[in-house]
Amino acid sequence: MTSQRLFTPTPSGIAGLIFAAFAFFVVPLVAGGQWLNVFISMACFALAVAGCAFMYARMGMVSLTQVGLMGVGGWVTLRLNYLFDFPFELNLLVAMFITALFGLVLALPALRMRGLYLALVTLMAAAGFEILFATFQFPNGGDTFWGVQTGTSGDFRRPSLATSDAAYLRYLVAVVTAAFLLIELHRRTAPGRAWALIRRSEAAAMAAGVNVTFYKAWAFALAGLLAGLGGGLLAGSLGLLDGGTFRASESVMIFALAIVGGAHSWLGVLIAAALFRVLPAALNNAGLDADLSFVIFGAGLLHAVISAPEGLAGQFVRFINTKLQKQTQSVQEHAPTLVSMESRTGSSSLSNQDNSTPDFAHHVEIDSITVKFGGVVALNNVAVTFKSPVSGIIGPNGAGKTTLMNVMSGFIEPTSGSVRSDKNLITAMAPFQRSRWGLRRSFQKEEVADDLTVSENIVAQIDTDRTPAAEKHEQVSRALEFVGLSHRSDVLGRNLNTFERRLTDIAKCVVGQPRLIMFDEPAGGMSVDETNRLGDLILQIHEFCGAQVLVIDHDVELITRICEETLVLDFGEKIAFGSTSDVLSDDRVRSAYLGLDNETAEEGQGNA
Amino acid sequence: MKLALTLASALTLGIYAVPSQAEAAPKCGMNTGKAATGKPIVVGGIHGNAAPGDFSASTDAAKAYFDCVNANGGINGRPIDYRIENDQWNPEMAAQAASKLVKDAKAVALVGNGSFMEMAVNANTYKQENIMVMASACAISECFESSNIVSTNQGPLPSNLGATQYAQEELGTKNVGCIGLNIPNNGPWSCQVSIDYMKSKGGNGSMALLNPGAPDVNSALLEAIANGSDTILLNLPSGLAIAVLKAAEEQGLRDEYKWIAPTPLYDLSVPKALGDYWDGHVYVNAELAPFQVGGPDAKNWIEVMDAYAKPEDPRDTFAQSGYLSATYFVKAMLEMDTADLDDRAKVTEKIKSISGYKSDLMCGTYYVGDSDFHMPNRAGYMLKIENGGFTIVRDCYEFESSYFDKHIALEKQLGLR
Amino acid sequence: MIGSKALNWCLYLGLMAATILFLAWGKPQKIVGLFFVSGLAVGSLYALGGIGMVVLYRATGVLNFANGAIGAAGVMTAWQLGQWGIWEPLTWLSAIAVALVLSVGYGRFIAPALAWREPVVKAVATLGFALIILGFVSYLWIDDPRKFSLPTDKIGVRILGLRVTVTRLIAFGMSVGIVILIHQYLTRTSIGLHMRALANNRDISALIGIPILRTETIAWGISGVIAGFTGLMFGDLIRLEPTVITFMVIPSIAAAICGRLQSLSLVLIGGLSMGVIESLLTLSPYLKSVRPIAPFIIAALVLLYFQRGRRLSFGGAD
Repeated sequence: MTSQRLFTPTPSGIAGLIFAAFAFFVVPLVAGGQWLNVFISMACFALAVAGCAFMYARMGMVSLTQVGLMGVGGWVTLRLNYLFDFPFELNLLVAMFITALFGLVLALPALRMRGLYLALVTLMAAAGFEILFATFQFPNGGDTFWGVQTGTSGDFRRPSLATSDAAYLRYLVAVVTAAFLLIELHRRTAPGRAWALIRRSEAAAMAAGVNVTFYKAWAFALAGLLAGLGGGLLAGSLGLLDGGTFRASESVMIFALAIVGGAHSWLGVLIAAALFRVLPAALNNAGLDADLSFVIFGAGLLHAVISAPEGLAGQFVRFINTKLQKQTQSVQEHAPTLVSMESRTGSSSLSNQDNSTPDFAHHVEIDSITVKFGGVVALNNVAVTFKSPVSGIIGPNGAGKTTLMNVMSGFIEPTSGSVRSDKNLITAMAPFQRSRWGLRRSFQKEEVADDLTVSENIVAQIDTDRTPAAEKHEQVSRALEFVGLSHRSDVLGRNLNTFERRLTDIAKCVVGQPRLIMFDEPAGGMSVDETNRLGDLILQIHEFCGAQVLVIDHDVELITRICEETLVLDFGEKIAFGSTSDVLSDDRVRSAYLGLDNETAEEGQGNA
Repeated sequence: MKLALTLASALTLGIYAVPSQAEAAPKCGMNTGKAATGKPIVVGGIHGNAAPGDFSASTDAAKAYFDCVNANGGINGRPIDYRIENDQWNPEMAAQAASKLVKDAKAVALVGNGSFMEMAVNANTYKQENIMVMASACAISECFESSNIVSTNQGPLPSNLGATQYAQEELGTKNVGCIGLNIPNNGPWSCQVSIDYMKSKGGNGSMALLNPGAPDVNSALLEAIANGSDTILLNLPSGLAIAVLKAAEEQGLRDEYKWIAPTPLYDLSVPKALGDYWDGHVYVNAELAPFQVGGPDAKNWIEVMDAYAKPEDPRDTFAQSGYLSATYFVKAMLEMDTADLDDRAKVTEKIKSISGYKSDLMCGTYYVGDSDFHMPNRAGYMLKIENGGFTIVRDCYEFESSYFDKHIALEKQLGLR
Repeated sequence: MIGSKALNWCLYLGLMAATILFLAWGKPQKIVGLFFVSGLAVGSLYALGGIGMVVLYRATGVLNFANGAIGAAGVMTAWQLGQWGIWEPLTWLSAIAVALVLSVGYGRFIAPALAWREPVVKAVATLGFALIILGFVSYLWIDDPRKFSLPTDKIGVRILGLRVTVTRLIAFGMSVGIVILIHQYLTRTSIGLHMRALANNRDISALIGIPILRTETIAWGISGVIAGFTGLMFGDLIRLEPTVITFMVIPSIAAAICGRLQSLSLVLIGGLSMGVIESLLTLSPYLKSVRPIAPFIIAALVLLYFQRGRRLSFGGAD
């Protein structure tokens, strides 16, 4: 199913290709000199828009430096041309590479912030570029490294294939199409899945084995690469550039237009680039003041953020889709509908199964873990060894359960202590390494990426495994079958109901070769019936994949049914540990649970 | 909502006296009084109008003159279809504008161009397409150092030099601080010759460069002061120059320094915008005849503007320059064989052969010549802002610099000297 | 917590003082004084812009990119009315009124449609508003040399060798005054209390019955008045060009970042120190050409410093 999706065109992709064909075959024949120039500019800026659009749509990150980075690409291209007279493509490649490095530098703040703060830091960077360009100027000539005097060097060398404007436009269309396909390829493979998980939640991404730092850096570098390409190509169109083109306000404008067009789709990117360069030219030809294009941009932006979250492209595609659907409604009558969970075989035959597994040899050893937040002790010297296939951790809110799980996942550095599993020192690994080693977990809230399908969400978990693709495919199918979601494998995350999302979470935990799986309140928000089915699934996990399971839950009934041994925490202290039935009859446990009504704020996780 | 500076307001300021029957019909081209109805001749013009400056005055004035020509018989009965584009200080727009006019509309020549950007972007295009540009508000080196562009205005380099020369000779300037835009082919290029001039006279000079978009102009002023200047040369578009003078006014710097400026500050709205504080303290070089000189061409210019331009179109040096370029162009076209008027190569050849055109608006003689550099206008007037207007403190004088050696050589070759 | 905050700011002030000393070392005192005072003048404008944005951001969660454009519309109106010969104080009031109407109009009719979106989207939406205003303003008042003056420009005092006009003193005084006034307002009045509650937690505030719409409308009003005043100051002290005034929001944001979009007094300190350092960089032969970059570098460093050691683990939070 993944290999299929790799080459399946989207409606907006088809529209984009049609436009590319139009720009390649028709425009050079019919357009005069002015419109050739307009389309050339549009193509260059489409690359910059593409960069910030995919960062925003796929990773949820706002980069307001794209046009500034274009300037870097343009600067390098001009410099190399006038100083060394290298061939155009070589200049362009060096410019792309250097701009990608600048993009990487911008990824550094993104490791620590996102949302508005990240947007503001990138805006500061754009303002910085603006001043650097205004001060040092573009090397539109000159024979020293900082030389800028126009007309003092040879001509600008365009690619030998494309010296005329018409040929240059065709050249650009080919390059832009290739660049779009490059991003699309990313989106449909491991990096795209990693970005989708990062966008959803960085913790979940780490828990899914995604090296968040690496993939963020990759995204910024890729956006930088595209901007550098766009800037270099723009330099090629004129042979000279001016700082005024690369102001910080233009970077903000490009981002705003990406939202107007629709950052999620290629068509949206093209609409944005067209608004940026074609609309002012059209207004100008119509004898209207180009200042009016600001009014149109602004109104379009407000329209987009308020009532068209997928932009103009989204509206367009939806319009086409409804037209198409009307025609094909009869054919789609038997489209897959949600198959009732009851249809799964043997779903509730396990409740009486004997929990004990005499030959179970794994164990998780938690060695005197202490966690302090400032003066608050969240976990105090907790030491315990889990030896059963399924073990439980219970305790009132604020007891430190999730903190313990976060320590095991690597999201919290313990003040002291360590965690081992079968002699492997887990606490020595980075979060994503723990995941690759075989540590899996779910979160209180289901962490399913909205813009990936069910099977893509699951594949993301084993993307870094060195198993062949066919094998991975097989593993995903098995995991889906295990949780009973095979029929929903191609549904997007955003279209799942809560229970299906939870099942997807479980499939993510059992796919591949997990060694230790942790569930954080898996039954939270579930009905009794759903809780029972979850319990059954969890009991089968060890048999299915051989992993040891830890379950945190408030639901004592569930814990009693599925856990052989249970740890009880209260105020960060271990107050009991042993076989579940023994523990639950302990007086201290009972008194701790009496305090359950006094629960205050939700502990540690901060998922809200 | 431009500051409307019509003749009427100039009169109320009492700058010069023009007979009140100035409403007499302006003289244009063949001056037949009959509208031209033949096949239009396409002529283009590109100006730059966006922050930080508006350079549309020259194309406005050229348009007024062409409209007047069209109403008076055109070019042997053929009207001029004058098409104006705005480059918005943006190189992409500049290239688009040139393509539109030169490649798409097949203009035979461009007249009245005024920009900080367009000429640098398009100099090669003009050369390749073999079209001549008779520019009017040129500010960058390409205007004066390329084969297919000739400008009626002086550009900042001679105008700065003229102001500096006057200050050195008359105001006792020893050290000039040139505040210019940080645009390589504008600020540094045009400041440097004035600094070299000061050095050749045993004085000194420095430049303080301002980023066009920078909000804070004061630090450039302070930088010029910190460089030890006794005279501040405001080599800036008028809006920015006013901002610098305002900052100086705030700090009470008027009397400690001398204030000189090239042509952009010669705009009748400027004395009013500056207010009483600066009255009598700012010296401005004028590249073309100040309005009070009032020769026949100057009067005709005002009449053309009043009859054919919008009331809000500026009446400044660049408007004079646009008018002059247009008159020279029409004069050349009228001298041509009517069969060749649509032939761009022939028109280009004719323009390049222009020599010895004179006007009371311009101190020197206008010529083009077939060379890689053009700077026909290198003499001017020096004015002082006084009594809410401008008074002439020095009549036509030629500026001196070794930079002009090649121009003088060319003039000798053409028999103009 | 309080202790570490104070420590951070001592550190910041110390670093700024060291930078200033480093730049000023060995230069004539008169020149340093000139640049210092000139820097304070520019810095107080950055701070003024930043303060207006932070007041609104705290109460509504909207970082208003349109702040500059609103001010530009105001000051252009004042200029136009002045050209028509209207009594000056009336033109100033009308500038503030225009800004107030624009700001409250957006806050009342457009912002509620975006109340539950993430902060970036809200900020980007205000950019749309800014573009609309800028488009209309540039269309109405085409580019032309203009000057906007206040009578206070003519009166000046001498500070550290630099003549400072009363207008600049007003800009400086108002930036300090607004910080104090807003602080008093937030602590002393019930609406102020509501704003603080909104700043802390919007969801809970709604549940406990804070009149959100009313409180937010008042916040938009206050920020509109500040924007109008800031526009007058920018128009007078920087340049009367709508585009320049509109995009003064970018350095204003830099000042706002120094206060982490929260603390008005830190915005003030941040803005002033940015202005001074930017101005003093003119004294360095190597750095003078890139001096306008100073505010952005300072803002980026402050932001990075505050976010140091933070891990982004969970969705939603910034």
